[in-house]
Amino acid sequence: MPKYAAIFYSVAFLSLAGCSNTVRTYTDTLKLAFNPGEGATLTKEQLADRKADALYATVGTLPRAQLALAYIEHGQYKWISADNAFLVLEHGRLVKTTGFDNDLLFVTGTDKDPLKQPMTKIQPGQQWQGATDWAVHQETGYKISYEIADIRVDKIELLDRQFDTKLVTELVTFSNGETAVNLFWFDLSSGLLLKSQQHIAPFWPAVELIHISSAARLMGIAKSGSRK
Amino acid sequence: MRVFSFVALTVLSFTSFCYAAGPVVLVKHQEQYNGYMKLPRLSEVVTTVNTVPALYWPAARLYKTDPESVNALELQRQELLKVLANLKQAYLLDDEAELAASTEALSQDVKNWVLAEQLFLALDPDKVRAKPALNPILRAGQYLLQVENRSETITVAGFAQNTEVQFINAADASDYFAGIKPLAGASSSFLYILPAAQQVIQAKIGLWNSQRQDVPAGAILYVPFEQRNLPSEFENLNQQVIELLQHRVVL
Repeated sequence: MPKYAAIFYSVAFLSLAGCSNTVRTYTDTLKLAFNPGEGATLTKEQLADRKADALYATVGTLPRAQLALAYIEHGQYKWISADNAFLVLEHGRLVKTTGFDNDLLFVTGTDKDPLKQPMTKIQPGQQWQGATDWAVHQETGYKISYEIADIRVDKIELLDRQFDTKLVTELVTFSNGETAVNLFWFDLSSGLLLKSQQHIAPFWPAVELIHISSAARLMGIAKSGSRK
Repeated sequence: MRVFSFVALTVLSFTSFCYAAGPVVLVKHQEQYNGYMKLPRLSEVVTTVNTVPALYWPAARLYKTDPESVNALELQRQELLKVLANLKQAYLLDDEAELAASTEALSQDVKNWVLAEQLFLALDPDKVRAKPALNPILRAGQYLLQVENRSETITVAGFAQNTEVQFINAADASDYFAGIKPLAGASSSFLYILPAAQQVIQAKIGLWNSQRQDVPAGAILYVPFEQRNLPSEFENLNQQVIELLQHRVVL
């Protein structure tokens, strides 16, 4: 009996939306928002006009790409590139990719990530460990450890403006013993993440992310819309 | 009055056009049924259940569960059971009691498999939403979508006593083989890995042929019969089992 009730309710709910059959996507927004030139920079006017936030992403030596915020779902920000690749961030940390040569499928243990705290609470010594799952060769469960090594004040320039930031330096240790350094720049006054350099695997180049729409919002250029 | 009933009739027929004959696609996920009045795209189906980040999409499986799909698989099962029965007879005639017993054990297992047609499609909502080529319209019918948290066990099938083993991080197939209790006649050189929604992978775990092959979470491991033990008429037995195993629903 309960089984049929469940069917009835789901069907009833979906029928109400069913006739118009629209799928909730940001596809139309993205077509308007993408700047066709890779490596090009958005002007302040363009940033002000955008409906979906932009993220600059530089993966290794590839030209800098502009990604658009496609979805915010259960605490994850999903940024899409012009060639339909995704970078998925949780509180600024890269936790999943699609469309790359060797995609990061999943990271376990992210609830212990210190980046999930308010910026002021991020302190040296905080550490966590996860396991990473990869697409190529079905490599599953490779340990990755993180430890916050240093915090200090730093200045960065975005959109011709100097931002006072808290620079968090994090030591990463991969399962094969290799290490790397992650950097995160948080706006000192608002706590928003503005920029990061992250390493997700010894076989992935460094990924640099600039949350340019967050910067624009702090400067009053962009309206409050989807925000980090 | 006539105008009113005409209008009412038009409205009624319009709405009943929309709500015609019940859902054309029904998708079961965990204990929930989601119905779609028009043929949905795959993205709609996977997005509907994608409500928590913990869902482990690399191990998701989508099955078509209509009677027609299942009936076709049922015929395949009966065929396989016949082959296994014949193989058992051949062993008994050859005085190979242990190999006959192993064959019988697998036969019993195959009899109890729940079968449905697994569809080999990318299911991760992020992949499926981004590329139209990965986002087909589903055919009408009933489906089962299995996607849960990252599993802590790996299902084992075939010529083994265990039905599952603990999932091990960063392990390869031979690490899993160490935890498997093989039946008489089982291979010690090969293991087959059936990852979710993908083609089978052969792992080489023998003394001389060994090569590293990782096992993804949510995979099924198949322990094959050693090829040397199989009479020539039964040389495709392992392939036959794997072909059916791809359509086994592990509950």
